[in-house]
Amino acid sequence: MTPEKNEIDGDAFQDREELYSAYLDGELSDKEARDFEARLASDPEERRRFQQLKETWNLLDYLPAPEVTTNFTARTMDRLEKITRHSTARIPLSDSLPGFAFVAGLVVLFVLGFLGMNAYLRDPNKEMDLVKDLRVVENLPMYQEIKSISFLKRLDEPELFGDEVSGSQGQ
Amino acid sequence: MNAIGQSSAQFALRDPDVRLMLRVRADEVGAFEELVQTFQGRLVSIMFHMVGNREEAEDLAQEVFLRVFKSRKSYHPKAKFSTWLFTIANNLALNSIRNRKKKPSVPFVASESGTFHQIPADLRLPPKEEHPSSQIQNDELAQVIQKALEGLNERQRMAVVLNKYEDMNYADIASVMELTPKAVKSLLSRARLNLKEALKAYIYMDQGFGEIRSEEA
Repeated sequence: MTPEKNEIDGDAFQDREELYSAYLDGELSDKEARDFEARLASDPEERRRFQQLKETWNLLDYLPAPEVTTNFTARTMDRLEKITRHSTARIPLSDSLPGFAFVAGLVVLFVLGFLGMNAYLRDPNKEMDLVKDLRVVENLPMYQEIKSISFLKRLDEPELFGDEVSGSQGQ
Repeated sequence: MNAIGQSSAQFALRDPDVRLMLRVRADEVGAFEELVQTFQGRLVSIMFHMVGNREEAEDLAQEVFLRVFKSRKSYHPKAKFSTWLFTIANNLALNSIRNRKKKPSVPFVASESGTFHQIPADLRLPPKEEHPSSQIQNDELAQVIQKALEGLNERQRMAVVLNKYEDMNYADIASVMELTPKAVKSLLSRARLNLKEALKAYIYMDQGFGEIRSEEA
């Protein structure tokens, strides 16, 4: 903490220094600037403190700006080209990754489908089922004429054919 | 886009640098090179004042330009182009300084060419009592000022560099540094106090500068 800061409390010190700084930076309103200039005019101590701050700021003008090396632009463009070329070499792979994935997915699905169908057709249980159902398959056209299960069940009722038999016997 | 967004975009389009950046965004041949040529001096200067070393400053400036190129497609003009550019520069510079703090280093000194190099301890600037302020040459003074700048924390330093060397107001600095204008005011005030303390032995050698307005009156 500077000796000056001990003279006044911290907030007032900070406010005063911020006022100096804002005045130097042209960040005060016209009225604020006029009020501040009036304070400086009437208070030599305030004027001294402000002058120190102003001269400190002016010292920064002695710091030279470096000259950019003559080939800076060319070096920057070279660096960009290297990065771009490197990226371009990688970009097709990354850019087309979704395409590759889609095609690979299709191939995998095709292969799995082929293998699955092959395995299904070669399934011995499936062949046994076919043998078991052979009579049904052979008579399928006739069964299709029946239309409904209830009709089939009625055909199986003995009294239905029994009457006809007895009637014909009676003729 | 709302009315405010439209008006700020229209305002930004009046900035020739914004128009240049839009040409870069459109991948117009030669536009990026023109952008580099336009801003290289200012960017290298900012980086130099931040890191105190021209080679490192140029590397960082190049990195800024490369980031500009990489993000060109997402660029939308909202404010001055330099504000956007210096925001990238600010982030890179602060990261670089923070990374450097993690590594052991020795102070920097300026050569006659203006480049700052790391120097061994026995060649460092003697205590200022050995140099009466009236005899210090400009290059030595530059060295002292650079050291004083390096004594500031990185945020104060960036605020000083943007205000002093880029002549930016508090609102623009706030935008670049992602702070409030009030915070910038406070940063600059504390930076000035620290500089005053670091440079107090050299203040009165600068009598050639203009008097304050109240004294002129």
